[in-house]
Amino acid sequence: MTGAPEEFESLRKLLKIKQYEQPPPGYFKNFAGNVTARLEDQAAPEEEGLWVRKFFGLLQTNPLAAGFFGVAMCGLLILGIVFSYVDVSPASGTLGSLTELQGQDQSGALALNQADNLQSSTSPVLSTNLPGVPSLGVQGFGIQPVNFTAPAQ
Amino acid sequence: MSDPAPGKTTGGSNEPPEAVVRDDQKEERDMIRRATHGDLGAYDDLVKRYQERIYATIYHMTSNHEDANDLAQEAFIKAFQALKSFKGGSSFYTWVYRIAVNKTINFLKQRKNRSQMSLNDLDFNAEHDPDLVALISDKTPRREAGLAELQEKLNEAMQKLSDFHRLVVTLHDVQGMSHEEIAAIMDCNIGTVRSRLFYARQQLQAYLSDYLK
Repeated sequence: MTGAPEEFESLRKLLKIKQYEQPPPGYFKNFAGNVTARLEDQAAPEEEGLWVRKFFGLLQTNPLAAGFFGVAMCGLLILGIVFSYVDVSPASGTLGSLTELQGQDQSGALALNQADNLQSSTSPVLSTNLPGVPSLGVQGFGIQPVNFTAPAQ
Repeated sequence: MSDPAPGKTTGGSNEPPEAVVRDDQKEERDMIRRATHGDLGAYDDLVKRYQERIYATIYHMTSNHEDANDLAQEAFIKAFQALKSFKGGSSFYTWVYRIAVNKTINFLKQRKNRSQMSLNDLDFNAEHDPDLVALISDKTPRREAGLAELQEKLNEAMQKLSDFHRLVVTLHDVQGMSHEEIAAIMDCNIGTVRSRLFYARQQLQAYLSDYLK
């Protein structure tokens, strides 16, 4: 069945070409590393997804846990809404610190009046003129009130 | 009785001493045990042992380097995932080969249209192989045919064979496996391997008659 060896001798020689076919140089250096890298990539999402699956499994099987989770989510939502309405601008913080200073120093009454004149946090404050409080602006920079009168029509 | 495969050592002084073989098998069993417990370093060593032979088999089956690269990697990944089912009934080598061969044959079945061949370059030693030199200069009627042309014609002829016939020629005539090993990999008896090999050689001889006279 296999035939006489000489019958396929030329074919055997020609088939030797296949033994000389080689992949690009260095191909096998990275091959095993690529396989293990792909195995690691496949393992990582499974590990990450494990606690998520456990958590949702718990919610499905335990009504108490599901209720607690729902209340916690609602609480977070309400807190988010409440905090979105509270003014936490830097100006309000400035006022608070100025009030404290006034309590400590009787001579700060004038300063408090000046601070009260601050309309909003958008008003530029170059100098606080408070004793013991460093100026925010360049030293010696004086603020001159501007008198602007509109021309009579 | 199977005829000795080309390039395969059949005994004598070329075979490694028995003690070395035993140590090697022991080392491999240890690597398999560690890999089964998730040790990727041990599996990396196992892949390095067989990567060239597995890749070559798939490459000769597909005649396409990119397909062979993907399939070989997938075969080793599948083998790792199935390691727990490896009971040691056959050698690890045969077991991995079986996974790679099944994966390749499934791929070739799904590949409806024959894809473009993407052949690897020939090693420069091919030009100095006396058998190939003789084939080009003396016996081939088309003396102008270079090695690259012969390589292309041979791969085209191989692709005309059925998947199982191509597999038998690849494992026996290219990779030098014995009939027994091929029968174990293909999960068939030795008689089937012999008859397939004979038929495949006849077919190839007919396809390549211009280059073999």
